[in-house]
Amino acid sequence: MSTRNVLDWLEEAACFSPEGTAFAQPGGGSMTWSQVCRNARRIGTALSRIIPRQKPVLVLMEKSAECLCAMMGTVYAGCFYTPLDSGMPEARMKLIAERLQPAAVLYEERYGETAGRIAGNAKLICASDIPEETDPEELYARRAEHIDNDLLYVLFTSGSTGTPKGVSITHRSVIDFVEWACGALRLPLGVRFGSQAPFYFDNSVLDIYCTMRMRGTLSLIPKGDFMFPKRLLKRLQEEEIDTIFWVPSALTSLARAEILEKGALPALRRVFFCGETMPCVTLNRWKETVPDADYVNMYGPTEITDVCTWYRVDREFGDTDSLPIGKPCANTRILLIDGEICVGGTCLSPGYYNDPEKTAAAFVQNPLRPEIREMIYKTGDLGEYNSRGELMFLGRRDSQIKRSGYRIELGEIECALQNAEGVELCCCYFDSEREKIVAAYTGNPEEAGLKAALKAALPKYMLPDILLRRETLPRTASGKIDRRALRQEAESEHLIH
Amino acid sequence: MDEKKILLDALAEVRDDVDFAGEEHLVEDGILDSLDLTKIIASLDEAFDIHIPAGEIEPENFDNLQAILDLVHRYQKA
Repeated sequence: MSTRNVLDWLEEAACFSPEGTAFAQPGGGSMTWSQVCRNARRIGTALSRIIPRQKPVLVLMEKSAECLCAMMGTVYAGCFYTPLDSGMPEARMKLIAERLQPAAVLYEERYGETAGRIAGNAKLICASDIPEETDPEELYARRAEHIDNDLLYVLFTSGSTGTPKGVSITHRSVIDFVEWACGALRLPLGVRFGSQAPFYFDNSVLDIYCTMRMRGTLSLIPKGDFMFPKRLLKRLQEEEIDTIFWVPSALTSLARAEILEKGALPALRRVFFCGETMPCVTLNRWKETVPDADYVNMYGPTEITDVCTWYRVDREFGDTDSLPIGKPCANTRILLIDGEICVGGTCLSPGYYNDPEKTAAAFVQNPLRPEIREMIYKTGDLGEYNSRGELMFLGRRDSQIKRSGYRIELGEIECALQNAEGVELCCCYFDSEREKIVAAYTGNPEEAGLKAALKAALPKYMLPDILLRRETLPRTASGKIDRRALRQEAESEHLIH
Repeated sequence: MDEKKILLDALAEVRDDVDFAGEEHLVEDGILDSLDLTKIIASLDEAFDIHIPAGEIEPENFDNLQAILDLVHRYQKA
């Protein structure tokens, strides 16, 4: 029987590997597959008593086994989940809640007050208050109505007009992607994944569902470990992690620490990366120390279910070479239209949730097939094929940037600046070499007050590192603020070094 | 200006909402995250002209003001 719902995998894991650790948490709270399944059914029951099918549920919990149960419980209720970054400012949570209009907010106790303030009309459920009861008939009824094109999750990404965009993804897309990934990436049954990605970031989709599909263990590496290379290395060793799928910056910081010695990670067999450009110098350092692992570079925006192209490293690269992003995954079509990477196929999101305008702008008819409706997503990324026919990533055509793997629209930062009291004009640019976001503005506010205003509006990873108060900002011929000229000005005046 | 003051000023640049002089467990209590830490290391470099190798970035060296000050002293001598 073919899979129609990701819960089919959860139930198989609970059936064939009931005592296997599903989600390992070093600090306690690990759960077996049978526990996860039972908890998810319990949460699904509680939700199904108060909200109808096919509704969004906001999940405001720390990255934990409990949080995964809440996500799966949402799916048992026939609904779809949006994990929220608990660290983001409440103002931004509210923007997300307004767009999503969740039917329920599932929260853990410590976020109770926040949940209450952002919930609007949504039902509030504290995860620790959910009773120990399951209603198999109701769960069965909801399951029977499910179709594979029902939504599984909505993940929010930075939006250039200041409001985050909710990328909606169906069960079908995730099932197709995960079946491809488990085969192409040669994942074994019982895989031991070391998780880096937060659940509100789409890289976690591969971690979670490949682990579930292969009845393995997803080790939830504490966020703090990534700050301290020695700790991280020890964790990988102790947990006998055999597979990692991390943003390149996490791999780079471990490589740079120069504590990775040959043979230090004997269990590690698969090193995958995605989310930003992988520097070959990092790759080469890893290959020296973990020579027998498979290295796979992947590429894809959230809108196409995590990954749409992949490249298994099959030859040597110089430290300054660029790594290909390779070829399309199964059931994925890649087109280059005026140099822009466009993606179609089963992986394609049906659009931005509750936002037909932004959906219509980014998801368009394939111009090469006017005879039949076939949608593609315009990524805004520029690409080209190398002489071997491999796709190469060249950069962005707009002002989206990547910082430590986070996707950021400079427009969202500019919007927050513009909304701060007293700011007249503003403009941001990203200095990728120094990894610094530079913001210039004209108007009254002092730096300290402006910083506080930005902090209340933006997640930490979007906050400008340098604020420049100017008398005027440079303009282009058409009258727009000129980012490039601003950067030249700032650098030539030695304001930035 | 004494070193402690220079350090406190540098730390306040990174996080003006944290009482660096009063907190005992900046790392273990999860007050600092990885972005903060990266910025702190960069600002130590700037304020004291010291380079801390990534392999030496250990939680106990950043857990409170005294620990960070000790770290600065170790690298100033080196």
